[in-house]
Amino acid sequence: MSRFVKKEITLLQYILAINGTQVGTSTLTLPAELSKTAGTDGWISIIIGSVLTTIVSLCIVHLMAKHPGDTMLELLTRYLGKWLGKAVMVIWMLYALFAVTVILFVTVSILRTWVLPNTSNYLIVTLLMINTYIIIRGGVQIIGRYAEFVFFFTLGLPILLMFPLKDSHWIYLLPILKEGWIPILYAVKTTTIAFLGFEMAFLFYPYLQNKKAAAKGIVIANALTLIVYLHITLVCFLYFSPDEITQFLWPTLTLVKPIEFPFLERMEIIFVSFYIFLFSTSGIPYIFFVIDTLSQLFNKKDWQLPYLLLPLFVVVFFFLKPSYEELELWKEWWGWISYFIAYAFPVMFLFYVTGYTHWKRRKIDDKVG
Amino acid sequence: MSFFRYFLRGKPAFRSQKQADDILHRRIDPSVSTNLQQVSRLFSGIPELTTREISLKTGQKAALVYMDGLVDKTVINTDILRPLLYGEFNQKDALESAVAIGQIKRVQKWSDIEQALLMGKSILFIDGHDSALELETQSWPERAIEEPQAELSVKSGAHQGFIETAAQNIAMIRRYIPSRELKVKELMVGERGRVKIALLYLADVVNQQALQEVESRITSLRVDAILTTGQLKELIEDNSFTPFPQLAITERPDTAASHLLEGRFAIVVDRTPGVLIAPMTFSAFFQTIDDYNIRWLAASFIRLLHFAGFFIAIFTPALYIAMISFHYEVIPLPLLLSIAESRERVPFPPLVEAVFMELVLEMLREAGVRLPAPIGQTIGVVGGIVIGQAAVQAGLVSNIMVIVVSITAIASFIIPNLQMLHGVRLIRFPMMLLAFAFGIVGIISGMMAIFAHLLSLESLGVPYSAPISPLRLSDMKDTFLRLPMWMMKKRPVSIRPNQLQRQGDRRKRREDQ
Repeated sequence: MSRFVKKEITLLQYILAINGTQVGTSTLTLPAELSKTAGTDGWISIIIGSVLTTIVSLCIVHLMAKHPGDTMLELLTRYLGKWLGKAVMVIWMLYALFAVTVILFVTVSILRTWVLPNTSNYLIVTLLMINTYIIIRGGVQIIGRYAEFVFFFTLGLPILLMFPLKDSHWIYLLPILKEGWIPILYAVKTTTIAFLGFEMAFLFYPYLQNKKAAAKGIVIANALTLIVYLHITLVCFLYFSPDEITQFLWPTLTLVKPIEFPFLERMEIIFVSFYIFLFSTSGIPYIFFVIDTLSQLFNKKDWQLPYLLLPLFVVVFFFLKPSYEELELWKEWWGWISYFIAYAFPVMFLFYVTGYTHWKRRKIDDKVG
Repeated sequence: MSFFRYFLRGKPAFRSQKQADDILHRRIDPSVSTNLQQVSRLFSGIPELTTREISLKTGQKAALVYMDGLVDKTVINTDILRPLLYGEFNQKDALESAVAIGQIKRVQKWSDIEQALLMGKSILFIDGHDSALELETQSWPERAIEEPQAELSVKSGAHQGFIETAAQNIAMIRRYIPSRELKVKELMVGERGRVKIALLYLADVVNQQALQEVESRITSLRVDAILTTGQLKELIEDNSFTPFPQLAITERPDTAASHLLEGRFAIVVDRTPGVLIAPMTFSAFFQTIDDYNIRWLAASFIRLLHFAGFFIAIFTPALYIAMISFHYEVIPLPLLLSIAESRERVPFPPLVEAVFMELVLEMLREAGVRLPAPIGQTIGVVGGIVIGQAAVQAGLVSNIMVIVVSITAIASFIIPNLQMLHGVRLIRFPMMLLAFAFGIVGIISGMMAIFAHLLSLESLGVPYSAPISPLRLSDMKDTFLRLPMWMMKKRPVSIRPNQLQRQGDRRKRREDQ
């Protein structure tokens, strides 16, 4: 076992941590984005996206299973050599850093739009960073426990989304495949961003107690994410008319808006506040990944210096105030980068590793023979 | 310098500890008079030390030394002095056969004698012997066994409570679990006030790892004395920087016994009635032994009330502040109007109003606790009438605020554990500040911080947040709900006991008959 891996997580924590990383800010925007490209057939794209993600996730698990207990860096250096392995790791770290920056900016922009219009960006980030510190200080074990807890704690939110179904129209979904497969396949691009987070299997795998169940776990995690997204998208498609939904930026929040009680209105304010829990589980693994990678790259155990990243975020938010369009652009970049890093890299690397071991074995066989 | 030291400390009995050590390491002299001299040097400035010199029938000289007040005089008179003076005893084991009390020990070291005397034991020196006899004559004022005021049993549970004597407390626990497996490990802690700490556990059930951990933590303590269980608790707990207790203190033997049966261990500290229970989980603080004494449906309901009380007590004032100062659009107009009406004349911002009222509540509570019962009631009346009505009429606080404060107070009172209650009382204030600065986002992130903190706590290596996360489904029968007893066939998994099964299948056995 690697010296960086200290405490183990259970299968349930592994599943829910990966699912938590996947389900994040996309839940609020996905239906609108899908409907823009694929109309009300967007839900088919989600399924395709999920299948794609599951295949890549299985590649990751297969890779990690070659040397169970190895961290990602150890695996990379084993096959790519010390320097190339470290270089790839740095690229991955930068990718995670970019991902968490985007997630944070989107979270803060949502909070500012819906709940706290007059509060400064950096103050909100300070709040989030304090909580992040409490969690990541405990390592992967606490991240796993946190993800497990948040999943059960926020189970009520999807149920709340069922309320608008009383005004649903199933006719909106018909006809299926009204414009053929092309727009649907095109919309898969949007869904793959929503499924990002599966690549954190690289981070969680070495900590998993029962490594034989890793493949099963990641399939379940992806399936859970699929259910969450399908549920949200279908409810949105059934409630809003196909033209209406393209008007909204955050249709999921507009969905809860009509829910009213004699003592409570504007349900979405409370709804979105509870969504901070979901956002946190999607951002925290990335931050931990960055911090953990830094201490691994410099080969230091229990290194406190990388935690300075957290106050650094506050500084960044103090100076950087992107507009909504810029944020959209960043999200798109994240999507593009993720194709190469999160989707293509594990598959390519698996091919390389398989070929490498095959070639090496033949070489050994030749020598023996 | 030395003058100042002399001025501050007075003349020391010995110039240094070294000289005392010199005596303490010496062997006991065969001559009684030299021994008595040593004792009086060791105990100079302690007038309670009593020496009684007697001549035995054999013509030998003997001396009995004890600390007045710490010993039982009748035992000394009837069981030690009388047989020594008039009784017959064998020449062979002269000393042992002379006295008529239960426990006798032969001691040869001065340090032992010193300790024994200070503990209330008597020492018998006899001419010609290079050892002394240590006689168990301790006696101290002891309270009768009463029901602990802090943990009343209202649901016809046992009404016995622990007292200040460790031996009695251990006996009370053993009456609940008369089992060979109930082991007691005795440890001595304290450099000045040595106190006996007894570790009670069921050897075949207890979480061994946690037991070893706590034993090593206790034995490594270097303190003057341990006066209350709370001190010991703070010295051995995992994390001090938290409002949440990680070890429980109970004054009820039945509670202690039930914890022991679940695989925890109890730490009995001599001279205090509080018994430490460890390892604890967060949810275990919301269980009481009374839950098992009423029907399971009612017990489950009360459990849920306890948990609801935890959340209401922490978040209600914060929610009030957030709703009034940030998110008034969340409140429907008619309700908002009536709230606005009651707040119309209030000159303070919501935070000041809330903090002020909560502080008044805390003061009232503290005043009520410190005062004797008859005056305590007066406090209630003053608080109720003055704060409840006069302040509202004077326009200092709003009606709604008074309601919020009372809800908080009632909700916090139903939390069954006092230490958890103290934690909740404290957390409320930062929550109010967060709500004032960030509205509902502040409350949620405060909630997140609390949860994250709870999840990262550990009690002697056991995750504090179990069985909620890490999820232990079989423990859920006894966490938020209290399902019928026959369903709880296993001990709580969260505590990682050595032996899981705790009862057989009742249904099956019944059918067999």
